[in-house]
This record gives sequence, structure tokens and C-alpha cells, in this order.
Amino acid sequence: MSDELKFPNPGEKRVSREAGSIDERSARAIHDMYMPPVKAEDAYWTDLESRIMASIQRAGHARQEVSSLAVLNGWAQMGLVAATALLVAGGVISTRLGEPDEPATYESVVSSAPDVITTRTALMTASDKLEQRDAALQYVLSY
Amino acid sequence: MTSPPRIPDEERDLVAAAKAGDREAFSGLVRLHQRRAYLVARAIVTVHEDAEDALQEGFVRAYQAMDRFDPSQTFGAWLNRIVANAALDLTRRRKVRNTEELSDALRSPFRDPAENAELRERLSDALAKLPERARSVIVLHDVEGYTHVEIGEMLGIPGGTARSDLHHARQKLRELLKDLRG
Repeated sequence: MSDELKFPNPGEKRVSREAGSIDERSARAIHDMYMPPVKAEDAYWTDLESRIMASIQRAGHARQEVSSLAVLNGWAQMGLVAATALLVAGGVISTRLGEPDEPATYESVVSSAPDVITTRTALMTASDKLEQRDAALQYVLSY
Repeated sequence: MTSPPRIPDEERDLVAAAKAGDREAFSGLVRLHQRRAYLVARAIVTVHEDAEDALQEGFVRAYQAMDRFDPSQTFGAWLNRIVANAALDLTRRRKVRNTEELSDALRSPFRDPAENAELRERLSDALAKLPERARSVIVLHDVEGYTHVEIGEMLGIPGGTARSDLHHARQKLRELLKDLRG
């Protein structure tokens, strides 16, 4: 038959003594050894409860800070993505804006061509006149 | 067949309120369960200061996991598993503590140091010589009254292993205390 060992502290289990268990005196001694080493027990447990609740509050604050940092981190990531997108878009726009330069250069070359041609025509005309003058001079001298 | 655990009305109300985020209600649960949970932690880590650390860590983890707690179960059993885990984590981090320190820690201030001084000294020496898990199992079972299954759940071992550890721990303890007069 098992007898029961009831420790004096509230909230504690009734311990059934079964065959083979360590003797009651030793069990009680071990139980006492494992109680907090304090004299004013009620004050100790009240204080411990306060400390536990304080550490829960600290942990809550730490979690909030971590989640705030996570939100900030999220915003930072979004900012980075947005900045990258802006850079890419800027590059594309700049490339697009840069493209008309070539035709413009080409056109300016082409549009300047008539001047060259005119100059050539003018040069050719002058040369023709010189030949005509030479021919006329040779004609006069032949007489 | 296992019948559902009987949960006191006070605990049920506190659990419901704590699950809804009421910190005062969780404080009530701390008040109800801290003594038992402390003894669970102390059985594993042995040293008072470590038991306090494990207890605080266990309650913090429990608070953060309240939304996952099934209110049809007893809060105490769930909490004890969490506290035991926190205590085991602590022992893993502090493996360096040697037998002599352990024995001193067990012997240090008791509520009535004059009473059974020899018994306590012998018991603390003997407990300090047991392997960590064997010591936890014998204290949780023979001193604090937990079942093999409950101890298995707390220590993360099968109930059968807890039973076998207990058997060996008792044998070893008897051997160490065989010349002790009652």
C-alpha cells in the first residue's frame, strides 16, 4: 500500500510513495534542499513574481524594437529597390535621349553638304572662267 | 482511456484572459505556478540562481507562446515542460560546473540548517555524484511526485527511459547512502 507525502508549500503535488522510492525522510530533506534558500518565503515569491513580470515586459519591449527594426529594414529594402529602379529608369531615359544625337550629327553633316557642293561649284566655276581666259589669251597671242 | 484533465475555474479564467493579452492575468498564473515550476527547474539545474534564471526564461517563453497553448490542457504541465526545456538549455550552456561545486550548491543555506545536517550533507554529496539526468528523474519522481510520462515529456525522453533512469538512480543512491543511519 502506498502512503502519501505532503509537502507544506501550497500548490505542490501530493507525492505517492511507491515501492522502491527513496525513504520519506530523505525525500523531505531533498525537497527542503531544493527550496529557495530564503527565510521570508512569501516575500521571496512575491518578489520573484515581480521579477518574472519585469523580464516579460523587457522581452516584450525587445521584441517590439526588433519588429520596429524589421519594419525599418523593410522600408530600407523598399527604398533600395526604388533607388535601383530609379537608376535603371534614369539610365534608360538617358540612353533614349542620347540616341537622337547621332541622327542630329548626321543631319548636320548632311545639311552642311550643300555648302560644300556650292563651294565646289563656285570653285569649278572659277576654274572654268580661268580656262576660258587662258583660251582667249592663247587665241589673241596666236595672231 | 485517458480522461481530460480537471482544470480549476480560477486557472481557466486566468488562461482565457492571458490568451487575450491580459498581462495581469498572466501574473496570476505566475503566482499559481511559480513554486512548482521552480522545483522542476531546480531538480534539473540544481543551483538556486540557475533555477531562477531558468524559471524566468520559461515564463517569458510561455508568455510569448500563450496563443499556441491549448486551454483544454493543464497550464502547469505545459509550463513545466517549457521551464524544464529552459533549464536543460541552461545546463547545456554551463556544463563546466564540477561535482564539488554542485555538492556545495546543494548544501548551501537551507531553511533549517541545524536539522538533519548529516543527512543533508550525505544526500547532497550523493546527488552530486549521480549523472545529471538520473538526478533530475529521481528528484522529480520520488521527491516532487511527477509520473514517468510527465518526466519524459519534461526532459524530452520516452517515459520508459525515465522509468529505467529512475531505477538505476535509486540503486546508485542507495549504494551511496547505505551506511547512513535513519
